[in-house]
Amino acid sequence: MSQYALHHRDFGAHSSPRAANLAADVAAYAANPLFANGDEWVIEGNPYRRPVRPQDLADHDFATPLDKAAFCSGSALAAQRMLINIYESDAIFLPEGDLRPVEGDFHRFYNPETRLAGETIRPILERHVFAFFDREIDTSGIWSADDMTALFDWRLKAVAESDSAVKQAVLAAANPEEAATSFLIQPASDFLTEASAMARNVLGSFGPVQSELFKVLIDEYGYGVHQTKHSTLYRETLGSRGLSPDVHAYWQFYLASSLALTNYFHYVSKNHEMFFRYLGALYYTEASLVYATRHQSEMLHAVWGDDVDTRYFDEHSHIDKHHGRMVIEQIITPLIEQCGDSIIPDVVRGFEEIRLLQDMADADLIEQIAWSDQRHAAKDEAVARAGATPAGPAAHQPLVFHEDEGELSTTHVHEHDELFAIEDGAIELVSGFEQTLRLEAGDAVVIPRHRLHGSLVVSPHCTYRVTAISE
Amino acid sequence: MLVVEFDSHEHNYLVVDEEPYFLLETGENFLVTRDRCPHRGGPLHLGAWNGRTKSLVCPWHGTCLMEPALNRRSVPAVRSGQNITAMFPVSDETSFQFQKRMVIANDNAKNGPIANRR
Repeated sequence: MSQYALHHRDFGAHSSPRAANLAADVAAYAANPLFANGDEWVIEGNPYRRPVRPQDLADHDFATPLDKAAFCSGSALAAQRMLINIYESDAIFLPEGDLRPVEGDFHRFYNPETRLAGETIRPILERHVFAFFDREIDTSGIWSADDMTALFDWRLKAVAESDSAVKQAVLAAANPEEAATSFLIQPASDFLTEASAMARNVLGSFGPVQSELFKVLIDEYGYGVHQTKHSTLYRETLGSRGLSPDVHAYWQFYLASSLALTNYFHYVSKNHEMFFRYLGALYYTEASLVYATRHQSEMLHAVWGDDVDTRYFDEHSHIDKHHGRMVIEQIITPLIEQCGDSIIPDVVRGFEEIRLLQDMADADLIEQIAWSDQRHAAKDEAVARAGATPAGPAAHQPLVFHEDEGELSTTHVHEHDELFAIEDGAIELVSGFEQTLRLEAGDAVVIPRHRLHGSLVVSPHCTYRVTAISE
Repeated sequence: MLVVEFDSHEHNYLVVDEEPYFLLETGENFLVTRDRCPHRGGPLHLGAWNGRTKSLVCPWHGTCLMEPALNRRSVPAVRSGQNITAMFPVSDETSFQFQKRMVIANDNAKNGPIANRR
């Protein structure tokens, strides 16, 4: 059992006075105007605007660690959104153009009050979303470097020999272009700020390994040549498909699992007690991306032919062969010799944690793509169910909403399947970037549990009813 | 090195090149550990777990193996959910088989220390 098992950590948040303080602390952080709901699906020109749906936060019990089944829940999404805002207040963001129109937001993002409010809740939010690893993953026995290498080689061989489930899902979609666009948007929260978390790990003083890690970092940063910086390459990929290259332009469409992948690296990099876990996670990522990025490049060309810039993926497919070798041979192995075998279980943990997280994120994206892909058919099915709300314990009191034209509901998820039925007016249900479903009076759709969605009223008034239809 | 992965809900006993191992789950920890008692080869998977002293008691002669000894007799393993992946110090072409057996010690660990049982 890890000596710093997170789910054992008691920040005192469960006790009544601390629980009340936690709710107040979260509310205080989210009260920042930058994190309020907005009226746009795509946020351009302002890297500081990041809606967290403050009206929902009081419903979530952030003091209690989530289990794996709740990884894509509403509280997970809220926590991951707040965490990335907190982590990224350690990094520098500037808009492409003139700062003056957003200079007030620049200060609101970086001022000491915002930073203190974020740091106050960060450990509790981290425990809320990452403590499940303590229950899911553990090591035992006495490990040697050879045992660790044997495990890693075995796992990576399986990766090399397997196809990509995400690629298969995208290519099998009724609308593969929509599906591929959804795919491109998800990793943007990481790829457009690539290696920001890694940069946290080259500070301080820890011997030759520090310089070896720095070599990986300068690769990611394109050797100081901006055109070859990996984040620049990803901007080009997005631009080739007419997508905005602005950081977090597609904030509304990030799944909780995608944010978790970005946040995990910040989590194990900001908390240096977990440095060896970071190295294990880094190794899995670098070594497996050789294959993943090859599949992704193939997938994008299968969808768009030559009308997509895949240099980001092609560069990774090449350079990560070297990065994988560098991390295991020049960083992890020498560090084991320097520090001793006792670090090996943590290295193994990090490797297994990011492997699990990647699998969970892939599954989440595949489900989201499938639901959005079939949204028109789902509408036709739901109309039949709208008149027959099931009785019994699964039924909940419907909630009725009256909204005016232009009312935009920041994307969110529900804890149950929800029947979304329109009584009057018209509304656009949004299940992905430019993936909308127009619903008018008499229409209905089932929104599955944990599926990300938002809405926009497109008539002068709209009345709709939301009914939870499963436990 | 032989790497073996199994679902702990389906299997809890392995024979690797005729050497038996079993999955010991004490609630807090787990081990993939040799089944033969170092004394006279008794079946440790039928031994009792003493939660108070954190030791495994061989059913044949009462030999008590404390956690450090059990650790030394175990192979390195990682658990991810219900899947266990273990590394065995033999050739990767060595034959192995999975089984499901009653592991008395795991029942003890769930029901509490022997010392507290009536």
